[in-house]
Amino acid sequence: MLIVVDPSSTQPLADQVASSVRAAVARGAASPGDRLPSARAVAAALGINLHTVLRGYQQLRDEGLVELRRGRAATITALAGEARRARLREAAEEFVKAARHLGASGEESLTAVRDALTAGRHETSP
Amino acid sequence: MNHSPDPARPGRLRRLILTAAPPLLILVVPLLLTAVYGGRLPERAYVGSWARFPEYAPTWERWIGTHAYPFAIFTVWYAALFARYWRWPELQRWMAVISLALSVSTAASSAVSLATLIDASGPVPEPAWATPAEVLATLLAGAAAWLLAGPLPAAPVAHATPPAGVPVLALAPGQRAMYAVSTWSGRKLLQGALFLAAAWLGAFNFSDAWQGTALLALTGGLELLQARTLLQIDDRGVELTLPLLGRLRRLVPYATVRFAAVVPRASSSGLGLLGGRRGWGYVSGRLPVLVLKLTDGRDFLYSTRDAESAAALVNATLSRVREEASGADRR
Repeated sequence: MLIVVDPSSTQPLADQVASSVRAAVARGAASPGDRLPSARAVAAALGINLHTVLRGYQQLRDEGLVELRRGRAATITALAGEARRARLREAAEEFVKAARHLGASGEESLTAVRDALTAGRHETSP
Repeated sequence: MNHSPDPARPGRLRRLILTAAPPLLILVVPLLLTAVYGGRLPERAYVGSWARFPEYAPTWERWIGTHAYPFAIFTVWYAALFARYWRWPELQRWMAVISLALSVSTAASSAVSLATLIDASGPVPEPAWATPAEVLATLLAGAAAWLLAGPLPAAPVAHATPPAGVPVLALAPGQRAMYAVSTWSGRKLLQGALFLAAAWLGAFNFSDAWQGTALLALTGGLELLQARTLLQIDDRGVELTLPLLGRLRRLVPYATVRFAAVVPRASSSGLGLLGGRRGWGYVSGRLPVLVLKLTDGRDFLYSTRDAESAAALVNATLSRVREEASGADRR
């Protein structure tokens, strides 16, 4: 699971940690049952406070995306998988709306998606 | 980039001697002991299983002759294996350890068996201390070989930035990133169980010698304990941790990584801490594989669902570090 933070950003670091996990779930990089890295390991690797990471994980728990248990690794819940599918469906619907607004045909829309997927394989952004 | 055409060369002669020479002990130790104590030994060699079947026991000359075959086979086998892996110093060090440990073990077994027969007129039961003494000698010999093999040659250092076409994470100058994942390997669990089952069969059904059984049990245990792995990529490099094996860690520093790539599936599966001639790591055969191209000519491979992000982070860090270093050199 990729976790990216920017200490110079105005967004709180805990939110950034939570966003990274959400993004991993959204793009299918993390699935229900997968373990999150230990908060201690994340804090040490990114040079941030342990409690900041734990706050980020607690946000995810409050959203139902992560299960936290004392003495055990945090894991992605089944709800996260459903949320991912719902988000993907929403994104597809938004894309279809935009394509219709531009007057693109179904074939043109699919070609655009394929091109974007191919380009995305070579350039990954956080 | 490889600056040396053969980075495995330092210390190779020493590792070769430590690998190919020890089987000589299998032959020399019984030869010397029978030469020294020949007059005080019984007429026949009531050694090993021949102590239980004394009517079939060979003469001492024939008993010494039986050691010529293992000596010749092990010498040729180790030398051939060493030549096959001529540019792989890590494996050569393990070969030296196994060669010296097993040779000393076999020689110690012969020595103990022969020592118990001094001044005896017939078969003598094996003393209780025999096996513990052999185990101790084996462990000490293995440790000695490890120390005598010396440090491994340092891997060449890479300076070039990753080539075009590989995934690269777009990291802003102030951004920090880490990648972490844990994996269970069903294949390692199965292999471990099979080796342990073979050890169990060997212990109770086929063999008197403990060495083969111990080697199978050790291999099985090690396979089982490598079933769970953690991979972490951060500023220090790519770190592999084996939580079940006492949290054994192995760090691949960025200096030894040329670049990272992704392959959809591994062509082989399994590997391990030592791996094969082409690479090491942990691959399942189903998931995409993160491939680190290392400066020693081998690859590090690790199966992970998000191998693309892992490779992108490695390449982004390599680019950042090496562009900074080349900028500093220009200044």
